[in-house]
Amino acid sequence: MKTNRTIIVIFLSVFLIGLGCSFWYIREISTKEVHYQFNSELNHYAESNNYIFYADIQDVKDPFSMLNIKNGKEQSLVKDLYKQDYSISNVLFSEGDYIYYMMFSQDYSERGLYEAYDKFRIVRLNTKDFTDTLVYEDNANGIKKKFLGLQNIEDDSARFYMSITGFFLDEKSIYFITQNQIWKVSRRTGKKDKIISVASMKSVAFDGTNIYYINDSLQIVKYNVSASKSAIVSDIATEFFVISDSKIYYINRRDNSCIYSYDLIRHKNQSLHSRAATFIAYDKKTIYYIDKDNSYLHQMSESGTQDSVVLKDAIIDFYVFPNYDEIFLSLISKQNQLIKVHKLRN
Amino acid sequence: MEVINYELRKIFRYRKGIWYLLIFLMIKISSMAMLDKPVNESMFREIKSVQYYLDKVQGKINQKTITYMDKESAKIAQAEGSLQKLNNSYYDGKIDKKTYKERLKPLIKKLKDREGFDALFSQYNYAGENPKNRFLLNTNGWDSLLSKEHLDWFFYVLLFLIIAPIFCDEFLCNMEGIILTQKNGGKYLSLYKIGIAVVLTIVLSILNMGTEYLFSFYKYGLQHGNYPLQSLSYFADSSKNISLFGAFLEISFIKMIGAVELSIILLFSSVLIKRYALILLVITADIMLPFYLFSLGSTKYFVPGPLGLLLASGFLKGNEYISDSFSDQSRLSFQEISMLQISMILIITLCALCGMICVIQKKNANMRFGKMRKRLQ
Repeated sequence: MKTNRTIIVIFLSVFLIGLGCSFWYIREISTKEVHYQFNSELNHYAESNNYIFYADIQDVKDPFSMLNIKNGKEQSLVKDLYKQDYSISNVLFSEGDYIYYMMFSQDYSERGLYEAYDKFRIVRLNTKDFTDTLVYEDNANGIKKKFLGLQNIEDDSARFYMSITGFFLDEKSIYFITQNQIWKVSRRTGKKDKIISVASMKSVAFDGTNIYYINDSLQIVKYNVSASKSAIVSDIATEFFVISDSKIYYINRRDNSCIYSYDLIRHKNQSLHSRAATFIAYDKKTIYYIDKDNSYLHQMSESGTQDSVVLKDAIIDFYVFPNYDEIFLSLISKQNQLIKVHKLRN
Repeated sequence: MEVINYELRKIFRYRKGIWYLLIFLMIKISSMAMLDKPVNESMFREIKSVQYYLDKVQGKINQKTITYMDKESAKIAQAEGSLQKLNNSYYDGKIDKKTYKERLKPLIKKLKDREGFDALFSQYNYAGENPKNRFLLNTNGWDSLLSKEHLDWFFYVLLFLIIAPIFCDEFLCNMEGIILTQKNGGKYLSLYKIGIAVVLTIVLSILNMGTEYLFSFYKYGLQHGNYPLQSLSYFADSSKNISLFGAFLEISFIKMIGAVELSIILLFSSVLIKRYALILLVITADIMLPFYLFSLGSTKYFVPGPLGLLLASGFLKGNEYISDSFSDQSRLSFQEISMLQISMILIITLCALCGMICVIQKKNANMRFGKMRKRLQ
């Protein structure tokens, strides 16, 4: 009898502890409110409270720099990588105080100095105290070892990770964008699923629940992540768009590549400007775009008024940060080097 | 015959062997269903479009295949460009919606097939390097069956649970003294037991391999068993002239010999050590140690233990090199094992088995004492 009672007590306590843990876990998830926003066209730079982060696309191995807004000090994003050979992709994803970046590294820690493991990692960097956490790690070797290193299995995941052109994530999954697909990878189990496939991937955006992408007939499609359902967004034809909190800014293919906005709440299309553009970005209340005719950088207000030229020089790309008052430009005349220019005040 | 009947009843009924067997099959099938991942994932995912192309080009690569593949890749590349053009002319207002939709459909279909074509194309490139013995086929089924150095721990545990008690249980309940004093117990009983163990092992390993075969057959399909082994990239540089199905039979046979060796070692050590825990330790060490001792992947196959035979796939593999990232030189990581060496290893194994059987028989018989008793009288 006594042993029976002990067993019941042990069983009950384990059960209750487990129940408590799961409740705590559920509450943890539900109380955490995060606002996700991702634009594949704007994923080379990010801003946090005191720092801005940006990629120099010409630097292949270690592209990211960060700049302290307050004292103007500039340094490389990844500092200490003892004994590791690594390369970092030039795309990042930012969410609140965290920024995420992808890296390939050769890890010698497991099998001595001569046999390295190629690993693919996604690292989360806390921009307040600069601690980094490994969010996702997978083998990027040609051969995968399983169970105590006893089984050799050939593996083609290395090729997959090399083909990634951008990524974003939510609590449950990580989404990888490749040349013509979007993949969903479960953060808990690592299960990979192809969710979207098109002939060639153009702009992609994510607002926390929906993925926006451009399908083969240049329409914007809204794909709901949790319901796995997709719907075409109104009647838009475009090859480039970015989303903000409530609007899609896009280059209208039907109207000579002019900039339009689509209100996601009121479902309304609106023409913003009659100039042809090739690239759009925005900060708080200003829209920046590259003029199609001469590749000059322009800026205008949210409603499309007060258009003015920021710099009369042909540019390829630019980074604009909401709270930092300089724009980074890569000029054609200066071999695509990054140049800083002060924002104009409207 | 009665002895065999009694022994089998002991193994399967009183020691719950039949339950172990059923649980093993359940675990085996469910673990395969849950854990098995296709070797070539993209080919598995796009199997429909891969099969569409395979129906046209599978088998040996000849001029027809080359022209077809070239044409098809050009078509797909073209489709991408024409989609861009079509979109341009539609949104510039040059064509109306109806013609646009009509022209869009075949382009999208072609582009959907692209991933399957890509998956097949890498296989085509591989086969093209040596078209004599590398054929085009859906490799996943045969790969999952053959291309792995796989230790089947559940199976070894099953063997341990069924084979080890054959002698150990007698020691445990002090039966061996009684058995040795019986008329036949001192003479042939241990031979019967060894025979039963060997036959059981053979049956179990056939069952085991059969399950794997059926699983691969239903999950991936095992077509074209007559294609050469080198069609699988795992056996790329093998010099053995054997078909896929032949390789499966050979590997199964070697694995079976390995399983028989394992069970004879189990009997041998149970006769010598007489304790379950120690036997388990000896067996585990016997299987595991060779894996870690040698830097060259092929050396473990030469060790006269059951490990090499249980893995078996290395016997058919060709030379393999890995490139050293420090010196930029490639270094041999696996040396091919020739047919002569394989047969030598098998012969040595069989001799060792005979030796072990002799020892078991000697330890479990009192024939010699019988002779001595006669002399004393």
